[in-house]
Amino acid sequence: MTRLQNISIAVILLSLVCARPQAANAALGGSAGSVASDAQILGAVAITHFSAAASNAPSLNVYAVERLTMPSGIKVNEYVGADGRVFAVSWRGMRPPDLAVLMGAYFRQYRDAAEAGGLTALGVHHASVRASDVAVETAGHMRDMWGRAWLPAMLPPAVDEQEIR
Amino acid sequence: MRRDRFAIAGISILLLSLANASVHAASANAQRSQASPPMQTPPGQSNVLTATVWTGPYGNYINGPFTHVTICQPGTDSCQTIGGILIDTGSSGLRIFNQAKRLTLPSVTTAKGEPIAECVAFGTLSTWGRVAFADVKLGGEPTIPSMPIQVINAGYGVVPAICRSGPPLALSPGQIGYNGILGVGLWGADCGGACATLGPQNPSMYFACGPLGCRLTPMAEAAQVQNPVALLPEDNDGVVLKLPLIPFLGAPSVSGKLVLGINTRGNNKLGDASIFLADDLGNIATTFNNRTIDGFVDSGSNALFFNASIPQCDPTLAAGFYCPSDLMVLGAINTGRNGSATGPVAFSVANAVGLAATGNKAFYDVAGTFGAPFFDFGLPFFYGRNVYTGIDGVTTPGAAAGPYFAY
Repeated sequence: MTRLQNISIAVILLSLVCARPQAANAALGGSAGSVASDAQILGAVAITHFSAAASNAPSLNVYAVERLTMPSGIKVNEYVGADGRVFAVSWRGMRPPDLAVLMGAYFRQYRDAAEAGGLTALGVHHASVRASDVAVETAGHMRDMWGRAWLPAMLPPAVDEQEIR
Repeated sequence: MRRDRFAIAGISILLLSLANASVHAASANAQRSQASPPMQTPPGQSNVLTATVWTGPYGNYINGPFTHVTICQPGTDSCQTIGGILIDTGSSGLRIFNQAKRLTLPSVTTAKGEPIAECVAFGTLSTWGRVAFADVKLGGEPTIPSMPIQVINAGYGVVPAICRSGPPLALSPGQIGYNGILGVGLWGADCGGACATLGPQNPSMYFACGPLGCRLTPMAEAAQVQNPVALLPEDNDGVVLKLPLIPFLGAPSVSGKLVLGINTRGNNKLGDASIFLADDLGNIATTFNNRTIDGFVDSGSNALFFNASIPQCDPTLAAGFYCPSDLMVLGAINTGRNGSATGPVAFSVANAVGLAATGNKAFYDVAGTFGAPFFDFGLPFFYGRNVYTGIDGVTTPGAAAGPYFAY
C-alpha cells in the first residue's frame, strides 16, 4: 500500500526545556509549520521525516509524513500534502495524545459528532466517526491505543484513506 | 457458500448505533437495571458467571456480552448486585457508573488523604471518575475484600485537560448502553508500571484531587484499578468465555458463560485449545492478505475489525462497517509470540445493515474497517468457541504464564 521512501531520516532532537507552550496551532488543516508547533506543545523528543508516494500514483511524491515521538512512547504521524497543508494525523501509544492540539478546530466537530452518534456503535474499543469536515477512527485495547483523523476534502488526489495509518 | 443479498429497502431505523434509543433510555436507567436475566450460580460451579448477549439494559446494544457483579461497602453486608455489566477481555478493571450504584464507597486516597481519580481512554470513549474501594463478589467465588474499582462519573471534580482532549467522556449508562465494564483482560492492573512513577513514560491516567483541582500522581501497580479475577484466591490465572454457535442471520439473545480460572477446575480446562502468547502490548501476530500485523482478541469489540477491500456501508446507516452484497468467508493466520502457536482462523462477513435490520442482537458475521495495521477479533470470533484470556505473570496450571489468548 503506502510506499515510504525513507529519503532522509533526519532525527531532530528538540531543545524544548525552556519552551513555553503556546496557544494550539492546530496541525490538522494547518500549515506544515504547525507540525513544529505541535511537536513543541506535545513535548516531542524527535521528528522523523519521510516522503511518501500515493499507492495509486507511485511516480509522484505527493505528501510527506512527519513522525513525532513523545517521551511517553506515543508516536504521531502528520501527513503534509504538496500544498503544504496537514491533511491527516495518526497516532499510536499507551493512550491517545492530546487530540485537541492535534485536531485543533476539528476536535470539537469530532466530539460533537461522536456524542450525537451514540457511543454504543462499535463497542468500547472501536469508533468510526464522520463529522461534516473530519473523519476520525479511534481504536485499540488497554495499553495499546491507536487512531487517525483526516480531512476528506483535503486528501490529495490518488491518496487512499487507507494510507493514513 | 453464497447467500442472497439482504433486502434492506424501506428500513428507516436500522442503525447499529441506535442513537435515538440511547437518548430515550437514559432517563429510565434506574428502573430498568433489574430487567436483565436473573443470576444463578449452579451448585459446584462457583466460578461461573452468566454471559448473556442481548440488547443490554438500555435496549441499544449489539454483540454485547453482559453479566452481573455484586459490590459491597468494604467489610459490611451492605451490598448491591448490578446487572448490565459488559464483559471486556480487552481491558482490565471493574468500572461502574455512578448512576448505577447505590452504595457509598470510600475513595482510594493519597497519603495526604486526597481522593484519587482516573482517566482511561478506550477506543470509543474515556472514563473519568474516582477510584474507590469495594468488596467484590464474582459468581459464587469468595468475596474479594476492599479492592480498587473505578466509579465512572464525568461530573466528578474538575476533569483534567488531558482527559477532555481524548475520546468523549462516558456520561451515563443510558448513553453508553451498560452499567459498567468488567475488564477481565490480559493485565492484573490497568496501567501497570508506567503509572507507578511520574516521568516522561507516565500516560497520565491517575490524578490526586485537591482543592486546586486534580493533578497527575504516581500510582503503584497494586493500588491501581485491578482485574478482579487476578485477586481471587484461586481461579486467578484468567477467564474462559463460552458462547454457543448462532445462526447466519443472528439471534435476539445468546446465553453463555464466563468461567473464572483456566485449568483450575473441571469446567475450565484448556483441553486442545492452543495458547497464543501475547507481547508486551497485548498483541499476537495476525497474517491477513499476505501481511502480518498486530492482532488481539476482545469481547468488548462488537465486530471483527480489520482492513480489507470490502464495500463499506452507507456512513449514515453504519459508518465504518462492511456491507458486502454477498456473505464472504475469509481466513487469517494467527501466531503467538515466540512461535508459541500458529494456525488458521476462518471468519465471515455479512452485510451489516442487513444484519441490523433483522432486529437481532447477536451476530457472528458483522465486521468493520480498521485503518491501522491491527486485526481486532471482536465478539463475533467468540461464538462457537471457548476463548481463554490468560493474565500477565500468572501461570496456568500445566500450561504457560500469561499474557496469552487461547482457543
